[in-house]
Amino acid sequence: MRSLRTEELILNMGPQHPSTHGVLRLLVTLDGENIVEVQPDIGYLHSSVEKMMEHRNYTQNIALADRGMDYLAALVNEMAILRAAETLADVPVPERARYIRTIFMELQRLASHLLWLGTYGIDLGAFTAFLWCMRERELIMDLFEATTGGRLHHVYFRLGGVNEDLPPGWTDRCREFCHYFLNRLDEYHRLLTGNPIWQARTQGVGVLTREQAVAFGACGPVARASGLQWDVRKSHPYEVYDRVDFQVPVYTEGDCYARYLVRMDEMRESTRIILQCLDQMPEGEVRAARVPLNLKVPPGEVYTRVESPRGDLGIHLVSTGGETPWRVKIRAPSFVNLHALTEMMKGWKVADIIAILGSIDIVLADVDR
Amino acid sequence: MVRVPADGSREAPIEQLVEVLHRLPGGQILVTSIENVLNWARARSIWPLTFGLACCAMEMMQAMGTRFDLDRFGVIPRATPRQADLIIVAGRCTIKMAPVVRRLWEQMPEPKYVISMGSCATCGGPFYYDNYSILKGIDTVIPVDVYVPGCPPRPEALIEGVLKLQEKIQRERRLTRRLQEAGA
Amino acid sequence: MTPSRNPSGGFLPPELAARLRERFPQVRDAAEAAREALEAFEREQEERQRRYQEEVERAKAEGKPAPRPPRKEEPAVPRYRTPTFEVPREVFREVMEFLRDDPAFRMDYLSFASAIDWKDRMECTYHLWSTVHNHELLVKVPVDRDDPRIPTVSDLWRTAEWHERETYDLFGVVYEGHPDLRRILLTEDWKGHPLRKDYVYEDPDWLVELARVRQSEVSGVQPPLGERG
Ligand code: SF4
Repeated sequence: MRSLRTEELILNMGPQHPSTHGVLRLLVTLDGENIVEVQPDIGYLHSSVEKMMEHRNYTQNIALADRGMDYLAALVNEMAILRAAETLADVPVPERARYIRTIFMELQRLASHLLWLGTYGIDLGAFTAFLWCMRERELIMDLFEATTGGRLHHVYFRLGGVNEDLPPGWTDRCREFCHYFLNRLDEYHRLLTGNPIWQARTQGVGVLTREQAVAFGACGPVARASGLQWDVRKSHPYEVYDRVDFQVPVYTEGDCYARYLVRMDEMRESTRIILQCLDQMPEGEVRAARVPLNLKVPPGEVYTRVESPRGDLGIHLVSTGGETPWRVKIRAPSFVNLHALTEMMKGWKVADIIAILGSIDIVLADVDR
Repeated sequence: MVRVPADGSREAPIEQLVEVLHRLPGGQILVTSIENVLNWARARSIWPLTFGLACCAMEMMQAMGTRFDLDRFGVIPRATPRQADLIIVAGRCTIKMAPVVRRLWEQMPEPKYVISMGSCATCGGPFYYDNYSILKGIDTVIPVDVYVPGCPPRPEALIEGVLKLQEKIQRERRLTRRLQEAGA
Repeated sequence: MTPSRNPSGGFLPPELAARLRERFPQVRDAAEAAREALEAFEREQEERQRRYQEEVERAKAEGKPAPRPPRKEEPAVPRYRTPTFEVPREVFREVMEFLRDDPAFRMDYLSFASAIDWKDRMECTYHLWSTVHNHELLVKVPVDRDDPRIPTVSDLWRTAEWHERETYDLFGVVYEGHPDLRRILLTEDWKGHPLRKDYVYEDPDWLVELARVRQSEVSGVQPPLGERG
């Protein structure tokens, strides 16, 4: 019998594709149903933030960080910029402001993970998850709105504190939400964790080993699902993370299911952090007096990082002593995780592309900046 | 935009009917009524393309999600441009992306509408100055029907935009214009 | 993971820094140099203060009004809150291999590779971190601004592949030996490297063409759909 000739097929996904979570283009080389190679083509959302930051002062950069970087974690981006500037300029931050910042960053993490869970649910055909997650996310949006005035972009943190104190009654509402949310989390577990379809589509799929994770620089939930015990909140504590008690969930399987579990556990830990912060929070000032809006940061360099919902978000800030930074390098977690994707996908089937891509939770604004 | 088909192209039955009606005495009124019914149907089932560019797309998702529920207005997202009537440009469009948006718009069947959501899609928004990669307004590549301001616009604002678009569709006189053009 | 000993910035044990400089004498510790400059500055300030005091006393003895105190000056010395080392290009590969493989360093995680344009010179920057010891380090390599070239490290850390492509795209730094050095964020036909300080934006030709097509549509002279190029 004559052998059939086989040929590799190149499949183009995106930039407009319902499940590439934004404007990502994947060039997939296929051998039949099997993936030989994946080449992401990025830059469809490159918004030149690094260049723009060189022309704006630090307070303006906070607003830019909301929009130009990872827009699902706006407050964490603000913190990233501020942490670099405050470290370099030795700006004091009042205690209460530190607690408020921590609470808001954790709420932001919840909102981001919820959106991820919802869209991942759609990717894998569980539409209910999307509706449920949006329902809870709206409540978080309400909490944000009551304080910062914005739903997505807040511009709430300032050099040396936060813009305004919490409105009256907010802490009670927040506490109420946390308890409500813990129940909801159990509900998600009942809906998804034991679900045979969910397990079949995620368990053992898209494995990334620990060595590969380190070599590719993977970070955040992706690295923790591969057994890398590392969280910036623990290794380089900032704000009040060294004063609250929380666990860093780590799984060793490295598959999509482990990444899902890491995020689910993280949501529980975030809720715990918020509740502890609400209890410990002192009264007092929320903004250091005498930090000018157009602060001149002394010349120097610093590399600081914060833990964004997607991983280790680093800022390399170079200042020459002016009102604007000389150079800001944003080390984006999604960028490296997307690179690790090329390794994760090798050898899997076409149908797994969506499951693997969804599981690393990329935000294209973070990839391209 | 109404395109008069070149000679020899087949017309839809409804259009043939309208042509006959138009010639009858008093048929004009009938045509207008048919037009109203068609517009009503069109306006109440706008199917947008699921197409998000940046942060505004999150608000678009929220608008389609649980609390705001755009489905109430007959807005059901479709995944392919061939089935869509509306493209909501939600977010900033880069220069690299511009030809893609244009191509998507060209792939949509007539009648098609565009909502430009957020200040980025409208004019470049916060990325207007010192910027080398963002298109300063999506209307440099595709025509826009409704602009929704905001950064990001709230879901309510998007809903308002959709309602405005419905109004606009309701007032359209495609058939009449077409008959006039054909008669002239 | 043990928390970093310097929570706000980076941390590298001083004995390791000493070891690195012993092994590679060409390597310069930027923080060290800055500290020396700062100490010199402070000495100078003290000196001025002392001279001022003498003047005050002399004026008192002579019954004249006291002179004005000297203006308080801010040091113009850069601060390095993250341990920073300047590595010459010649030993760059060796240093990087040493940092990765030496058991005391074990810097197995490359956070980013990028560059800084100082208008008159250019520096390539690398941030290394150890998942084992939790210490970190910034490496800066001066390169020629007009023809920036540097050996690649993408064979040591896979993650450098994309970071180097990005730096090539935005700064025009050529990484010698990189397996696939193409533009990553911008289109292939982009003119110039935008993060350089002297970059001037130019519309790509096809964008001008696209806008022209759109303009002709607006004014009603559009060509039929099929005839568009
Ligand atoms: S208008 Fe604002 S929210 Fe919308 S895409 Fe632009 S920056 Fe993002």
